[in-house]
Amino acid sequence: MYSTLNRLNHLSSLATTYILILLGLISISSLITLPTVNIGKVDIKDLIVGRLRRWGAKEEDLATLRFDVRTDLNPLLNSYNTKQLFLYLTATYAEPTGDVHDVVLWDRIVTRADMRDFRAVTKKNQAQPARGKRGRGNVRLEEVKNKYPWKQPSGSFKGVATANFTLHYDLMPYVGLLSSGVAATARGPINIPEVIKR
Amino acid sequence: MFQSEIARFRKLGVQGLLFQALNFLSVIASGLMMWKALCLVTNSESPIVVVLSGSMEPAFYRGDILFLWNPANVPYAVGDITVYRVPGSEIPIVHRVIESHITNTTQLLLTKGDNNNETDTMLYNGMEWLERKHIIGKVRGFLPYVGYVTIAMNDFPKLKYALLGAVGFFLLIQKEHEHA
Repeated sequence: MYSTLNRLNHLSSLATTYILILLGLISISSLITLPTVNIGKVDIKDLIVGRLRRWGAKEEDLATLRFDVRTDLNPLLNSYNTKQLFLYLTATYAEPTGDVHDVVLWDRIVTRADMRDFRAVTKKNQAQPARGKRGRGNVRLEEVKNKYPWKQPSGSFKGVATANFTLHYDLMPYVGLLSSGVAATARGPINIPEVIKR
Repeated sequence: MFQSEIARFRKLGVQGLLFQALNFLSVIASGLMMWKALCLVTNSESPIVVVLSGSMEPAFYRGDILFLWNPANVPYAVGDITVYRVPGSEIPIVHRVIESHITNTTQLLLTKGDNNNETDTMLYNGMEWLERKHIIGKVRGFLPYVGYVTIAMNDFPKLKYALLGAVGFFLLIQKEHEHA
């Protein structure tokens, strides 16, 4: 009749098939029930464009800013197939030549383990720990500096009048399809100031 | 243990043995055809990849499987997790796009691993920006742990040959059991 090897082979192939079917169902169902987020608010402050002059290096413009964010990502973190959220703030702007630029200025990994309200340490209140209440996904960022240098490939912001700022989220599931969306936006385009003269 | 199997081989004769070999080849060929069909559908030269480094932890760990696609005519956007290979290096890298500069002629991209402190400029072999032609695809789907088999096979090559040999051997004697 059947040998031990035969039985083992049959059992493992059956197990693999059913596990794969289960994982497929999980990823489809979590995609169908994907929650939506109420789009929150980004406030851009202290946007400054300066000119970097370093000996031996190309002269180039450098923009810096601070920003506040208020948004609620609770529905995303309540979904059972959420392993991690990746939050990132982008600046999108166009030049008169038709070039379109899209740049990440700040990002943050939010794992399921640190599912809590989270706040960034503010300039005014350094003593407060960078973590909020446990258990919810309220995002409160205050006066956060940009994490990545904001430069132009051409070296100059000349001709760039305004930029749109958006906080996106990227949802990593335990299994299945990745999804992304908008968590918060700035109200309308923000003016890019002239280069500060020294 | 294998006495009876060897005896069966003798009984099969040349014709039977050739038939089994043909069977074995057709299994391999159909696997290859499925892979190539997937390449065509996703427009990507390797639609399924295994994560080899920890630069995207905690999202992707070593051994996780990623499903890619590479839609033609759709530019890559900031925040997409891409798999790219720069000329002069063999290993594809899974990192996130953090800058995109679209001009009339091309799209310049800059990537960074979520778990890395630095952007990828050092990995580009002297290039300043990544371009579309370097990108294999964008990550759409995720399956944890399964790819660890391939990492184990790369780390211990003997395991690979043992596994291949075992699969081949069992394919050869499989049919015989059904005849009996």
